[in-house]
Amino acid sequence: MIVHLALLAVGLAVGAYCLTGGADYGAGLWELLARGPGAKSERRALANAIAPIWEVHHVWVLFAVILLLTCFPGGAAAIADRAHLPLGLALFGIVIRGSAFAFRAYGKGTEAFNARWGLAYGVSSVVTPVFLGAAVGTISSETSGDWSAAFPLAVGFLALSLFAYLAAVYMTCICEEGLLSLFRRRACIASGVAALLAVLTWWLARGAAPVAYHGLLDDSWSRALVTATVVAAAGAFGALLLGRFRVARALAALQVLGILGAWALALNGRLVAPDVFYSEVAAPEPVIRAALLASVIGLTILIPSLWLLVRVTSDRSRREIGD
Amino acid sequence: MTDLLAARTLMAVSLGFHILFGVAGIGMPLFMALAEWRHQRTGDPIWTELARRWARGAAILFAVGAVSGTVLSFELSLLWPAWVELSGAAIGLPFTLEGFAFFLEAIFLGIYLYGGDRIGPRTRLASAAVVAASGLASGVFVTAVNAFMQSPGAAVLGGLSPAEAAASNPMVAFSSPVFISKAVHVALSAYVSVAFVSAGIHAFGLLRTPSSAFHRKALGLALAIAVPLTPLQILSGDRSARVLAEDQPAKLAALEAHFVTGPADMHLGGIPDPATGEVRFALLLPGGLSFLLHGDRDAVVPGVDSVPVDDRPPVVLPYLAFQIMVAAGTILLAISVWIALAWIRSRTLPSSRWLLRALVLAAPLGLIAMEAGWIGSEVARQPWIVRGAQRVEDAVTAQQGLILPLIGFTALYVVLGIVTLRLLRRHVFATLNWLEGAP
Repeated sequence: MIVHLALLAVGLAVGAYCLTGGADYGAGLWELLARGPGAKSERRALANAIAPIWEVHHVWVLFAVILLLTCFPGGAAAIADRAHLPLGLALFGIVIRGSAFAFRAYGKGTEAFNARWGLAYGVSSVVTPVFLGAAVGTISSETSGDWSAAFPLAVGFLALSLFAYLAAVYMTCICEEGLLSLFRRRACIASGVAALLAVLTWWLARGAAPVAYHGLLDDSWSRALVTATVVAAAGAFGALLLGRFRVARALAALQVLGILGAWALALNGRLVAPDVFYSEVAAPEPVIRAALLASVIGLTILIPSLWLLVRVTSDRSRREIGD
Repeated sequence: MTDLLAARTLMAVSLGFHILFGVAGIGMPLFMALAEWRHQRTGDPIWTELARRWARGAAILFAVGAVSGTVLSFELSLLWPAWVELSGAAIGLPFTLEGFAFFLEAIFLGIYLYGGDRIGPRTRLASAAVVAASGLASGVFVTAVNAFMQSPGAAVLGGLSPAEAAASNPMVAFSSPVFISKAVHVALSAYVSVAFVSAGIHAFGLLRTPSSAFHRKALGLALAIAVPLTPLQILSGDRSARVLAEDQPAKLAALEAHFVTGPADMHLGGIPDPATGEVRFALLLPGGLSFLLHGDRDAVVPGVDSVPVDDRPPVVLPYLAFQIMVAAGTILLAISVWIALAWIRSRTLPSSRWLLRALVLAAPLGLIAMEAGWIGSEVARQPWIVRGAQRVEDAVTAQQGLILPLIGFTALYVVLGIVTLRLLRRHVFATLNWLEGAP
């Protein structure tokens, strides 16, 4: 029983990372794509939105890795072995992206300096989620460990499109009029692209990841979750059109969590397809119990702290470091 | 280069880079919090300015530290999957706690930096204090992981696997015999290193602008940490050596180039020659190590030869690194004593230009000692990744071509290191020029 809770905890950490850190990648993508006369204010809005909080968001991935390593040591080893290359490449992206953002934010550099690191930030924001998604695709695929095959890459681009979608939806909740309509349009486009990529991924899974493919179809729970996810996606789209941005934000988050959950259910107990089952690579129960207890205690301190951070930084006019 | 050596070098590069940011993440928030506290107590705008500058410096380093730390968390599994598989259960709990400490540090640094006037002075000071406390906590937690690798404790040495040991005691890493001595040494090294860097910067400022009250106050704060903690750090190093003598005699022997079991000399400088078992060109204190450990110059100290040939650590690199650490520490101790004596005599901070120059030159010595001590400690742990339980060569990934990520990350870290240094230099010079000759 406690083993299932441990898996749930890892899954929640991954989910939290997608909803927070993932959306931050999306913000980098929109910065890179910003064009035209409004580009400068657009970039500024995007950067200001994540500046106080991206490091905090980033800690979720660290936390997911650590929980995985603690509760499923053999699983961490197996994932690292199978997805060695995409994970290694993602790490490059993570380091370049975080450093570039910090250099630009705190460096007070020249225009050229900021443009150079802004470009590094944008490009690494785009490639990193593709690698991370490809890593997920690689461990779900049983045909080969090749991360550059069509299926893992499709998962990678699906991840990127979802992150871009989340970022655009979040921005609609905090932007003023001009930028608002821009991000609403972008959110709608990203939603469509993500839907297409989801279908493509599912279609490719038939050959590359039959376990997941059949798992999605055969398991009644995952069928229900897929249905709910599609409903959430459609609802988010509708809410965007109607201008109910907070509703859209909540539904978009549910949509992404639904995709993650359905994927996990489809793998049916596997951490790495076809034969690494989480129940078989779990750490001894006392260790898992201790780690979960530590996590619960940690979260009771963390959540009010996070709330305070969000509260004191949510006023848009004060997002610049005090000078 | 073999893949094993590439993996080890990549780990060394990643850690050697990250450690600098880790130390900054422990040390800088303390100064930030102290300056904030002085500001609230005295209302003196100089302290506000200093707190603000500490915070901005910490913010740059914290970001790079966060991402380079992420690299490490992945590299554990990417490079040493068999180690993770064997020890994940035993080291996971300290890592989990470190994760939370880091989380809190990130959150409250955000609150401190971006809170502006939306938070009251108490929240502000409390945030700074939480950043400092959680920085310290994360350093202590991660040291527990290292302590477990160095000395996993009686259960593992008695034949239990790390997972079995953790099943009966999930806190097993914290019961490592070397944990406490290591944690104290690591924490003090962070404070002392950052304090001397800060002292060097403000000493430089005072050499340029002797009348600057800003630099005088900032230097006073740096020395208030550096001067008392440096002797404590030397004592803690001595304590660590005694713990090693009990717990890992072969490691201590490698660090001291004590090849053959018997009365142990102490060497200063020189280069060990494993072929002859001597240290060439060294200043020799006969029986020095025996005396230091046991108060008796003829006491028998186990040498590198006290363990089977296959289990012996290398000697040359640990010895040289250890010598550098000891030399740097000794210089810092001398400077600390100098300042303490001057203060006792006149109750003021010394304004001698010679002392200020010495502080400028000594600025990097704490960091150098810290890196050298870490290198010595880790290399002298070889050939084990978890002593008695797993060898480094048995833990490495089967992946090939590790030379490529090694080259890639080394190049990336060189670039990031240079840019970070340039940004910090600009930050420091902005501080130096701040109201040149201000109140």
